[in-house]
Amino acid sequence: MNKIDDDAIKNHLKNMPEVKDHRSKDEWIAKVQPYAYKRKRVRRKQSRMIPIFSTVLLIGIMVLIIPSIIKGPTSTNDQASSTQFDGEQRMLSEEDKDDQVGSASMESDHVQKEVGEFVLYTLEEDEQLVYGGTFDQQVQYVIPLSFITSTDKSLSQAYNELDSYIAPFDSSSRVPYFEHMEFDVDIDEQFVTMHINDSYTVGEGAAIQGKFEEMISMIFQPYGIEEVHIQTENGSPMILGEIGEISSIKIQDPPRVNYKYYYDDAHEYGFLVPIEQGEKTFSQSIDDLKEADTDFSMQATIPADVDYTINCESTEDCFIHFTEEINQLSQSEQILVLESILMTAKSYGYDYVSFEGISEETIEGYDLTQPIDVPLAVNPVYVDHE
Amino acid sequence: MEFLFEDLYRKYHQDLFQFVFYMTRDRTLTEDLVQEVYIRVMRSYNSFRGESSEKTWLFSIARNVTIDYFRSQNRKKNIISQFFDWNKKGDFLPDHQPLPEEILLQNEEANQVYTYLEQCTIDQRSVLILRFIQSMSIKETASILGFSESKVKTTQHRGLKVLKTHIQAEKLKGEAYDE
Repeated sequence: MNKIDDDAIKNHLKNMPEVKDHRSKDEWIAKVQPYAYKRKRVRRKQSRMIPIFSTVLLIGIMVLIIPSIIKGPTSTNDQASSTQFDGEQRMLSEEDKDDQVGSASMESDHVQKEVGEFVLYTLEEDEQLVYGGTFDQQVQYVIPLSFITSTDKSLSQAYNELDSYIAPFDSSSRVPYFEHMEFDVDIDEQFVTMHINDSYTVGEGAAIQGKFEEMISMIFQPYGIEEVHIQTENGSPMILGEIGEISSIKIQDPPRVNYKYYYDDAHEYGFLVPIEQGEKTFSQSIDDLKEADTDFSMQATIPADVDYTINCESTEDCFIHFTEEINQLSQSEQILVLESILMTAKSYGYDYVSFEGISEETIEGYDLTQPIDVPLAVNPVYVDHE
Repeated sequence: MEFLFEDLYRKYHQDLFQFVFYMTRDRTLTEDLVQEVYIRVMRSYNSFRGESSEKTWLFSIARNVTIDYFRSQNRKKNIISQFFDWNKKGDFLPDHQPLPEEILLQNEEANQVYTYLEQCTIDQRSVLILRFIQSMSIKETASILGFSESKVKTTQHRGLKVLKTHIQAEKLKGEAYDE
């Protein structure tokens, strides 16, 4: 069969016909100027009364819509009159536009989340996750990275390329581990062996050495691996600095964490970073998201003036209701709030979270009228394609 | 205000129009949406803080206007589907609409790329149009869409895959028919 590849598709896209607008500048000025000074629409405030009104309104709308659906496309005159723009109202008559747009309106069902700003929700059939990590500049925190690679290569092959995946994000220049290691990874058998050169030492400094086991746990814990076996060339145990000789690393259960924001100025990357919360409750961990740790460049993800109430009684029943201040944030700030909470909720075992009080029904593909699943992984990085 | 409009029009209008057209595939709708873009731009230009380039800002607004339109369609469809027992099958029917007169493509494969572009999500379609039809860099695309560069790459890859899957299926169907 004659297959089509990515390059062919890219070329077809690049060679799509140029679409020109034939209206003159003066026509556009005439169209735009009358509305250019009107006030912005006032944001709708959410209220508990809205569902009742919505139901009544909905029935009214249905009465209006059904005849037009049954009747089929509207006449040109109808369309012309319906597309008269009123700056204070929705600009197009939706009934008429449905016919104009045709299948473009089918888009609606595609408004779903695959990739967030800092999180990943789905994997394609031919994709796999390879977990890695880097450090902040002061080697205080391990920053998890979720590399999405093609299943064309085995997981072992992918892990043996881990150093090259991590290198662009190694702001501390202190993640030297992986270029000296080879992995045999068999998820089905729950078995991982790490082969290390005899001459290799993890690095100078207790911080780096202490973080080594944390990094390995973070990488293999998501697969349910319980222990990583270490094999040196001559069969002797690995010497891990002050920790001493080790022949295997027990994978630690993941601690409860919340997620703050770390921005690497040098590399212009921002990541969510897990911070251990010890015995704190979920509510306390969310409250802690308002606290920055400026000594280590960890930024708060929830602004101090944004308040909320948390009602999370079970892993499937978790509501967070924000006060009005949330609506003063930009969408990207709101996304940071949502995704840091969702990742924190994941760490606390919640399956999804319902957010209330945000005046928009959707933000960047998040449907806030529904509970939102906790993400599959944090800080996704696509490694195989440009 | 007229000077501002003229300046934006001169520098970006055709690109803006083309972007919205490929998002919506409808000239009349494109005209309406571009009008809305300019209105929003005029109303908010004073609050433009220059943190992004003018072009990035303009295209961000265009993208938001287009998404708002799709969402309004989405809401309407959801309302209808609550009353009728329509399943989602219709969403996956191939598009048999004639191509717009602007899109006279040289070969069948290019035709399919255009046709199946609408099977991509809004994010995927935005990325593919900005990256390849509008020839923007990953960085520029990321700024316009408010994505990280990594997300642009991921979304691009997945968008290309959607196109590839549909075109491949079409080819298979054609071959089976020939046999």
